[in-house]
Amino acid sequence: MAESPAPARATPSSGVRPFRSRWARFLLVASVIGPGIITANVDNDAGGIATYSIAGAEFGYTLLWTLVPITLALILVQEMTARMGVVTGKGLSDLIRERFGVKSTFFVMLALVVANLGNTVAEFAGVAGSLEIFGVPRWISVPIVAGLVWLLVVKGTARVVERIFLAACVFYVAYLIAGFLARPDWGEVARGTLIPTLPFTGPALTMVVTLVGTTIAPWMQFYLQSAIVEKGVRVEDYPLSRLDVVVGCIFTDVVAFFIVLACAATIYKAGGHIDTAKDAALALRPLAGKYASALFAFGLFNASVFAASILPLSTTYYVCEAFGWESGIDKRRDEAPQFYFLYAAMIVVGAGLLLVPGLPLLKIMLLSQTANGVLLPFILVYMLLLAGDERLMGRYRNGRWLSVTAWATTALLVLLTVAMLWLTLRG
Amino acid sequence: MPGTQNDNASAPPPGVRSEPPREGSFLFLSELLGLPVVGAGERIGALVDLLADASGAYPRVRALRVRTRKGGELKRVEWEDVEGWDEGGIRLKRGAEALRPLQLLSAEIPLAQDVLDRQIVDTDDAKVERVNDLHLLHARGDLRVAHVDVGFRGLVRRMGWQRLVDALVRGVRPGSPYLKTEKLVSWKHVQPLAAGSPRVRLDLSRAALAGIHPADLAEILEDLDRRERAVLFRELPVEAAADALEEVEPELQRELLHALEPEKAADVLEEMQADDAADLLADLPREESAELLAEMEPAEAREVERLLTYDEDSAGGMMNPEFLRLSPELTASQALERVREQARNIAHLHDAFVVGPDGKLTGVLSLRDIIVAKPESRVLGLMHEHPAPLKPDDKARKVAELAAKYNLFSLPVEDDSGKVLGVVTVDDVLEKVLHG
Repeated sequence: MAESPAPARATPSSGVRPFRSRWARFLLVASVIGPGIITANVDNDAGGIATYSIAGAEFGYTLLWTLVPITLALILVQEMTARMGVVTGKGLSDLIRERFGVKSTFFVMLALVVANLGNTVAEFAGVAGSLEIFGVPRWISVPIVAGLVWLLVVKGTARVVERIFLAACVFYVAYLIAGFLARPDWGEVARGTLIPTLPFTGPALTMVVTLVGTTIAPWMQFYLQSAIVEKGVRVEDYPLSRLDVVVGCIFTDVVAFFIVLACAATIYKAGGHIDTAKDAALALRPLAGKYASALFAFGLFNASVFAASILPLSTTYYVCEAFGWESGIDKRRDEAPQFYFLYAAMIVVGAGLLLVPGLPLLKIMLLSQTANGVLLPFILVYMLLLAGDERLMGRYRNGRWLSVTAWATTALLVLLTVAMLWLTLRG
Repeated sequence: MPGTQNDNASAPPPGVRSEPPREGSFLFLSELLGLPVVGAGERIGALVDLLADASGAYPRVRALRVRTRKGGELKRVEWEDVEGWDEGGIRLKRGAEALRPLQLLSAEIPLAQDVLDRQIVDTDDAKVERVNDLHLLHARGDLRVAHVDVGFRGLVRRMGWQRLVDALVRGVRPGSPYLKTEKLVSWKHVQPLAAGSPRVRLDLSRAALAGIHPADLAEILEDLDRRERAVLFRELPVEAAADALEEVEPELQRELLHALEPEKAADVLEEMQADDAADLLADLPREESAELLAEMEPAEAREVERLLTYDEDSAGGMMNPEFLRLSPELTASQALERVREQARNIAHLHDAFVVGPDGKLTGVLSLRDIIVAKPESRVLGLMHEHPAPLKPDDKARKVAELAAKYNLFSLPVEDDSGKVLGVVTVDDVLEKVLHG
């Protein structure tokens, strides 16, 4: 650019622009990175932590190896979602509506709302459980956190919220430290990770299926794709976006790995039994010390609040977008009635159920897991049809090999999901 | 359900029919889609789409898209071959020989594929809507698109639950507005946005788009998905595009500018206020902004380039180099004449700045001062000293404080020698202070 000497450049206050090019690369990274890492971390929510804890407590190190193929499948699915977001600039619910019509959309959205409502209940249960360890009763913690979630979303700008979320991702390191504090037998860890073994028993199979189901969830695809569209990532910057997704998936499963490991090294060794993530944190205290236990509880709190901030709002957005209702917190209540109703309902019902005494919470979460399970095959098949569509994706559609791999993985996941449903419904 | 009334008690709502269509009657696209297509007494396929000629005010259906019973291929059937239809199916005048190879003539829109379930712009209400159904008019042998349905009832109809939901609502609350209100948007206010839409239609509605207030247009652009946004933005006339671009969020500005060919992008930048154009160019990678500047008219480009050297959040970055200039020796009537000459290129006409032959600011007066003054009185006598001239490095915060303190609408920016570089208006300052 032909620049005339800048009259103001001599003064320090006008130095922003000349530095721009030096920062350009950094800014570009910051403008693309985020959605993948955040999505993958929200995946380790209260339900996920419970599942990984139980896997470690009940089966020791033996199921660690399953996390490797699970990570690969997660990357495969998430990469496709991210690519669709970048190329089409539309959310997954829009694409499903435009391609598969109102009926499919309605049932997908219905299942998504049920599944995510159940997930939200699980998140608030995580909030209640983790703070009860620190002596805070749930009738205090749950309303306060519900209020904070509402506030964060209504008052926070997208940029601030994303920064808070990225910071929340850092706190997952708590689980890595807790894993070390548990003093695992690293030789056994290596054996459990590298040598695939699967005891052919009902409980072990159920556990594997649950691990897969909790890691690759339908809501993630909707969330990731919308977050990428919202960021306005351009096709030229897609490689960075892909990096974001891959790093996020790997980090998530490393965290999962350390949760399994912490519980395997302690609760499994001592022959204990747990049902929830709170049980795990409590069981760690006599076995790995109060710091490990506190870190575990803190991690659970962080993860639960994190997911509780994302699930109700994002679910509301997909539904409104799919049906063409006004949405967004910048709209007034009378401009976007469906949006506010659904959002308030998700939070009030999700948090409120925790405060009803004597409600079978585990059953409710089970129902949500079932809704997730029913939904996943449909979502995956829709995604594969969309990602392979030349009219929609142009030269970014799934190539032949990716297509074959993706369909095979989907078939396997569907098989596992059907198995899980069958096992859950049988008891 | 207690008290459910018989359906015969009230007239059927529009769109639900049991008798064959009469002349001059309305029906919904969703009622036709999926119907069997019958030719020479034999079922030959099912209706997948209607192809409508979008060049008229209300698109006329010219052909059917049919999925054949044998082989499941998509074929085309001309409208002339259609004899009539009822709930049982669409009857053709001849048999399978009416099936022709699939093709889409220019100016034809496949309604189910490119309009149904997609986003459109309602140019009358300046809103983005999603199409739940299309309302068709059958008259004089033609089938035309009359309205798009964007209401809740349309969704219910698409689900196939209209009878059920109607009965339920009628049972609970017979006077419910749900039963009477269809949210229909007349096709003449509809701007379809599917990337493949023929341009004919877009030319027709260009005038309607240009009539939307820039702030509303900006909101529409923000509400649309990226592809639809690009389609709409490319079709806007240069002036409307420039006005809308000034209003949208910075991230979106970049995206929209990318949607244009460099020549048109340069035209739009020229049309924008120089300070806004400079802000936008400053956010682009260096090669890109250089390319755009090279495409622009040299005079406009120079102005923008000079602004580019200032920090975006300083008076220099916010100022507009084009402002009302008057010479001190003019009379009020001459001054008014000068205002008229300059007005075309200037966004805000509240204040006129009196500049001496050396380019230095001597004073300021409002347009009101000029109008109420005696025609022969001199500018020199009418003007007063500006209370708060700025330096290019002054921060937005300081500018806002000065404007509030002295109740100023515009503030001149001077270099060290006192020469006027440009004028900052409060609208630019507000934006920086609120969103910066």
